[in-house]
Amino acid sequence: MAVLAMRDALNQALREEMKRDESVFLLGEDIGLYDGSFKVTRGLMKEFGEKRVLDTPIAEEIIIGTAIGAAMSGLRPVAEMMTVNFIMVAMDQVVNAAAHIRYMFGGGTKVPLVIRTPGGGGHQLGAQHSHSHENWFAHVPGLKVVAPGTPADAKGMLKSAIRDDNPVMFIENEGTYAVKGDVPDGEHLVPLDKNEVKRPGEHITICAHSRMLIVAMDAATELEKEGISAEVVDMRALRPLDMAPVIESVKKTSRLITVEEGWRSYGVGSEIASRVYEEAFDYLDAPVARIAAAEVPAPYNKRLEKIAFPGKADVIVTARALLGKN
Amino acid sequence: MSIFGDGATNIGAFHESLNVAKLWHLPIVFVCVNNLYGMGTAVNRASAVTEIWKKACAYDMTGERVDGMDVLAVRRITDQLVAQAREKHEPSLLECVTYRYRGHSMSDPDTYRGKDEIKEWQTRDAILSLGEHLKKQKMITDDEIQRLDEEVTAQVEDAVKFAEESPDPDPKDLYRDVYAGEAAS
Amino acid sequence: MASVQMPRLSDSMETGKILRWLKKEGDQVQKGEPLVEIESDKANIEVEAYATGKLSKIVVPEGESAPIGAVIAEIGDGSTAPPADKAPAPQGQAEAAEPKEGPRPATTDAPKPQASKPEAHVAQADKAVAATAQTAADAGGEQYPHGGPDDRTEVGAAAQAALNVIRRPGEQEDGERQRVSPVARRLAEEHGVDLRRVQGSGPGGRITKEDVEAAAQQQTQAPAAAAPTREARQPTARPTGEVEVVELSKLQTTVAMRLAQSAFSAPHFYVTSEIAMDDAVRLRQMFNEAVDKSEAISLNDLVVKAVAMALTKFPEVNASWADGRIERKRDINIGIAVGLPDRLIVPVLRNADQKSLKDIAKESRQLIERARTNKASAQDYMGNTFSISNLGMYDVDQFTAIINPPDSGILAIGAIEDKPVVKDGQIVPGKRMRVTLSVDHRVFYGVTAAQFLQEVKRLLQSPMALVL
Repeated sequence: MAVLAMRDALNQALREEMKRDESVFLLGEDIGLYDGSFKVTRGLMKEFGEKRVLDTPIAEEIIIGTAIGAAMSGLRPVAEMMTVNFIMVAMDQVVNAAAHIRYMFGGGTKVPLVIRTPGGGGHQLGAQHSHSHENWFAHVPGLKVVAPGTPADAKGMLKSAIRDDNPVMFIENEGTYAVKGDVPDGEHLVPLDKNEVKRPGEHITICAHSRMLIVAMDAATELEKEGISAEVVDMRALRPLDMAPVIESVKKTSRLITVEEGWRSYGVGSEIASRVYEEAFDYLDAPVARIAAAEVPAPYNKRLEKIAFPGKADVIVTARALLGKN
Repeated sequence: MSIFGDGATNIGAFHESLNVAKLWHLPIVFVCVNNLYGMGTAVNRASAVTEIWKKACAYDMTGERVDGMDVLAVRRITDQLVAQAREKHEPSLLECVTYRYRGHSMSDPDTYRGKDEIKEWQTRDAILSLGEHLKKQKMITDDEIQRLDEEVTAQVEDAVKFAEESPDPDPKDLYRDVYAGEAAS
Repeated sequence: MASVQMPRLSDSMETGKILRWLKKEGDQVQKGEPLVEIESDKANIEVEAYATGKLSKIVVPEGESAPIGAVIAEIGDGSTAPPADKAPAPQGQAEAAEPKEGPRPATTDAPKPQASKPEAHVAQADKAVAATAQTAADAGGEQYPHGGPDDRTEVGAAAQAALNVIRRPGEQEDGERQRVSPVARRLAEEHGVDLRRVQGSGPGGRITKEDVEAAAQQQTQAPAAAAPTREARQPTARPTGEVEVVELSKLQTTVAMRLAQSAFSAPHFYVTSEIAMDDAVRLRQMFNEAVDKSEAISLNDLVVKAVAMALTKFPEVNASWADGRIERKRDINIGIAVGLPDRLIVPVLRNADQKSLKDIAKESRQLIERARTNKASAQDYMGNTFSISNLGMYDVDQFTAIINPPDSGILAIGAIEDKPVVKDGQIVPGKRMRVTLSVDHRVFYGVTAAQFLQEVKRLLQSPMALVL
């Protein structure tokens, strides 16, 4: 077991997979010479050379398009979108090509592609640089979507994603690259379709993913002090959406809070809530509470930004309210 | 006038823009501030064509290149192209070659270029060059330059002070201006 | 007079140590010139002067530390004229080498008009670059500055929408409509709690799980509906008005609705048969003499077993009408109707065909006990595929029962009577029991019904088969 920062766990995953499989290569903006704008690809160009670590022009559509073609031709590209905000330029490639091609070709080809991209806000980067789009991707059949919240899961899931034969949206978060955690030694793989309870509890269930997992865990620690035992379920697997641990938990607690960094309407919480209503309706003591970013373009001002994005105070107050302890 | 960097000339939207500008005879001057680096990547590693002005020919458009550190030269060519846009409704692409002394952002360690290169460009600094030129023409003295400097510094410091001392917006303002009209989200 | 303050050279720096003054007191200082070397918590940095003038006083000497913002030196009103030896010699004209509309430069290098070489400016820009790199290093390579730690203690806009939903006041329109959470509703039904008598503690008066659980605890048990024996009833006081209204419990309401639904939507037809129960009664007697009282089997248990075994031969009877299709069920789960003073419930004995008579006896006893004492769980009422209703203990000869949805059949059991019967041409006493099968005519027809009933009769008349 080693303690690694998220970025280093991801770096390790990339390095290991590139060593293991020659067909794995990276492409993206400033990932090589610059070592990556978040240092996730640090040292990789030096180790593997320019043919396997490709610095691209600032042209998102061509990055994804190139990756798709390469994947269809037998390579295993890992494309980086510097932040998820820029992926909107390439949505046609992501959806109409990467997600649909196998189906349109009657299974005659496959697109083993990983798109790594960090989302999230809270850094005063303004409206255009603070999005979270995992729900957009999770809406699309043909894509797999994962959003790990710990360095161990990040490493294990990135390795699994690279080995998967499908296009995988690998959602990272700008605010978690420096977060440290235990990462098992040796070959560490985490499946792409299993969610799990990260913290057992009795009174209330909290679903969260990516940076919000940390927010939820912090809130749970605080809530414990006032006698509220919260069960935190890590929703790292968004498509396919593994609801089993959530349903099991809700049957126990009867109360659910979802937390996400994206906007509320049509968000991840909406899907989780719908499935809970379908599968555990008779176990609910109250409607599902969805905590998400305020529905405004992300403000620049520090104070406004802080209240627009979910923090642990939001989870704590909502948990209390849900349990009738106002 | 559309102003952008060298990195932007490699993305689809740039080409689409030049195409319709020419097609529809739009009065636009496209100004590319080519400071030789797109974040951490040098122009010759990102663009097949390193003389950006040449990209205009793909759209049968006027392309010009000017020393971005020469204030008067930039003004002269701009006047010309603006007139062309206004009078003839012909768009153009103007490449101003210049340089970025510091990193792309506060967290750019700037390890991708040599210090000598930076120093060399600093000697050609636009503002300083203009100062020298005006001094030679006896249009300004060192004292006056110094005073201008101080005035501008004071203005900037004033603005910074104003920004830092201004109160934060009210949390209620979070939802203001999401939509036009009365409709709230 | 300009004060030189200890600068913040990194995010985490709090004090800095003066390593070396690059100018002496009395020296002339140009803005942008390197002035002093300072040690921060991360590195040694050369700091430039931000003012021009004479370094009139060094306040913090070499080797000493000072906090950020503290004055470390003073730069007085020195002469603002730049020193003569620093006058830059103008080197090329800014205008001379620029491209006109003439031939384009063939190289990728732009033409180089020479400005003067003011070293201070270069030095200043140098420092700026170093500072940027330093900040980058400090931030551990983080691309963007952070919003800071999650230290907000009040609830923010992010949770407001969720809280509004939770705290929504009740819309108590006409007072009739109760707000009950799904889990509370389910538990109320299971425990026979009358929701109209429960006070809701949730938002808007919603009845919660907690409320129902509390009510179930307090609820006085219904007078134990005794084993089906004939109870003598005493005449009761007559109502004072024209009519006495008896309100229904939620459970009664539900049962009423479902039976009505069954009666009106399933086209019922009925088949009756009279079964010779002599051997069955004798078998039961022998059996019960051999075992402990707590393990005794009832006649009902024999019927349950017989019906379950018959259903294995007639899967078309173990089926449901479902929206224009017939669903044949894999499992054989027998619902046993239990009548209590204020309600009718039908606990379910699952997989009855796979259980021995002994097990059926034990389980049905438990089921009925749980039903009577309100301790049944949801599982107890789910999944019936065929039901049995027995009113024999009340001297009923025969009756027709209404099918219990989603079944397609129900067997109504009458009392066992001693009556004269014909055997081998002789009239002898015999024990006879009349049973009536109600059938959903959409699912199976007369012949099947008759044959099924024949099989049940056969098994009860040769009851050793039930023991196997």
